[in-house]
Amino acid sequence: MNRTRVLIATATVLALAVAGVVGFQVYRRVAGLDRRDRTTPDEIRRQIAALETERTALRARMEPLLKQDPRLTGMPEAPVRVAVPTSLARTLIARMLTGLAERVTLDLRDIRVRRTGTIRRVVRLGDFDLTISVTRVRATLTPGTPQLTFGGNRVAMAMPVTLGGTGQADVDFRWDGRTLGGAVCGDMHVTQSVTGTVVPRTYPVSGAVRLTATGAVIEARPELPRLRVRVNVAPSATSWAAMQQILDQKRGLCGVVLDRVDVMGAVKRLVDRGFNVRIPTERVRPVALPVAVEPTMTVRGQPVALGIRVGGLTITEHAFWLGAHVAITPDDGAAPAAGGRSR
Amino acid sequence: MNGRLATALTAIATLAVAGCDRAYEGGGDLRAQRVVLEREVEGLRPIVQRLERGEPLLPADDVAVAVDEALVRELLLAQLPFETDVDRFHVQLTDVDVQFRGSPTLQLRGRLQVRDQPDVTAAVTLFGALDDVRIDATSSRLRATVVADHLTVAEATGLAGYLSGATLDEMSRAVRLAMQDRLPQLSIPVSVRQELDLPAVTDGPVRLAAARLPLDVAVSQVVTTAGRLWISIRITPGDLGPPPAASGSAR
Repeated sequence: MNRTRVLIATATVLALAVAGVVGFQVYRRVAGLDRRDRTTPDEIRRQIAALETERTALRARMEPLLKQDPRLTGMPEAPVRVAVPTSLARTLIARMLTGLAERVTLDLRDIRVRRTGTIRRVVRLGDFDLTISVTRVRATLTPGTPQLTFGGNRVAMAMPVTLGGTGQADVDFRWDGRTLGGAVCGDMHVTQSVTGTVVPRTYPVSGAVRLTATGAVIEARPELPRLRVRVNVAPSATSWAAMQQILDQKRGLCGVVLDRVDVMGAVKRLVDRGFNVRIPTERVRPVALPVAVEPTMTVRGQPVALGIRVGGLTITEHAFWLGAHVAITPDDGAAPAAGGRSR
Repeated sequence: MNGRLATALTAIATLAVAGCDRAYEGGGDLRAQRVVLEREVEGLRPIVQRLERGEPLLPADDVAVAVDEALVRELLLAQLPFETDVDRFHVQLTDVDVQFRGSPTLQLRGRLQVRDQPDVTAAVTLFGALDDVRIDATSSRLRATVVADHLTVAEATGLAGYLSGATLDEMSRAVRLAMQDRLPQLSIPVSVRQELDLPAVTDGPVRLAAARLPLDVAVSQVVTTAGRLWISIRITPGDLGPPPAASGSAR
């Protein structure tokens, strides 16, 4: 081997060595082997030992404290449990009841009340026909503060509601004068529209809201007694005055008749009778509380039915518990939820 | 010449292998163990602190939803197998274990394969946890994200069997980071509605206008104890008002 070959071989070896070192460093960088946050197994073992010691201590402190948590006592044994605290149920039920009352509207139309009669003064003077046509009475309820008392799955409720509103009516008075009367006071027809306000009246409403596990939801079902309200419309002073003015204009020869009939008094008596209206409390539908166990899930974009078996409602001092057994396939033991959702 | 060259190359190779961070060899399993323990201890600390202050496990006025770990495993299992390609690798996860002890940890197991060399495979275990438990605004369902804390590679076949443990650890790390955003989400079959609808009564002289009570709902706390995932949900009712016209009034 001559000197030139030795030099070439040496240079080649050195070049390869340099390339190897550089390549190795690149490899370490790419593979992340030169990260400074890496820890050795010994370091990790020490960390694990410390963590295990802390975990044991934490578990020992936690176990007895968990058993004392009053909210967890009495919960149902089921893979899925939902607890609605009584404080939240109280708030939601109160909001729903007042909301229901606020949204009740009585809309009465085309109600007619009529009074007819004959006026005599020795002889028959004539016949009168007084009709009051209520064109519209619109009344609303204003709720007071509901008082709720929890007992089992039944929440007793007492709440005052005050009826108020406005009304419009047409007063129609006809006088059909007879022979003698005709000479004194001929036929007469008086019409007048009157407006007024519904006489405010407060009614105590007492009932209950029953909480039940229906399907996979906790449902609040109102149990309200029949509620009858009496709607009385008090004509406004302006309406009274306008009507009185018309009658006054007719007095003249008809004074006797008008005095005998007492049109204003008759109108007042008819109006004072008022109307009885029944609030259809039985039509107030149940409302599902906002947490529910869902009967389906999506698996890779496809909806899959779950088998859900819901236990009854468990009631504790602090919460309403709903327990549910959920199976991915119905033959896993849980039956599909009965009834389904009413949402 | 050939003898000298071979000697030189051997020396270089020896040098390279010697620098392969033997100090870190075998750390993968230990790291996985540490990650799980860290999660558990970090979850236990605030629970114990709260209980020792005399506070309940979950806020007293919140709705509580508890789900057993066995059911969560079933729900996650239903989403498997999960397959994805990460760089040169194909990852298939086929099994899952769930453990709710202080923290909602889970282990997803499967295999990793080099895509253009099917004979190069390895068993993988992804250590992770459920995170970001939330109420999905669209479906009202409870959902949780699976986060990946650590990925171990074992039982490597083919050329992968010759890689050092440290190299495998680093490869695992890269795969785990790349997979993070693709992992399946957990859908818990519990819904929390964001409104209560009062149905209308529209016929007859006494009418009831439909109304909607909006509810501000949010997951306020998540704790895991004794094999159960506890989700605390704060529900704050808003002001009652008419329902949006498009949604109708009937339940």
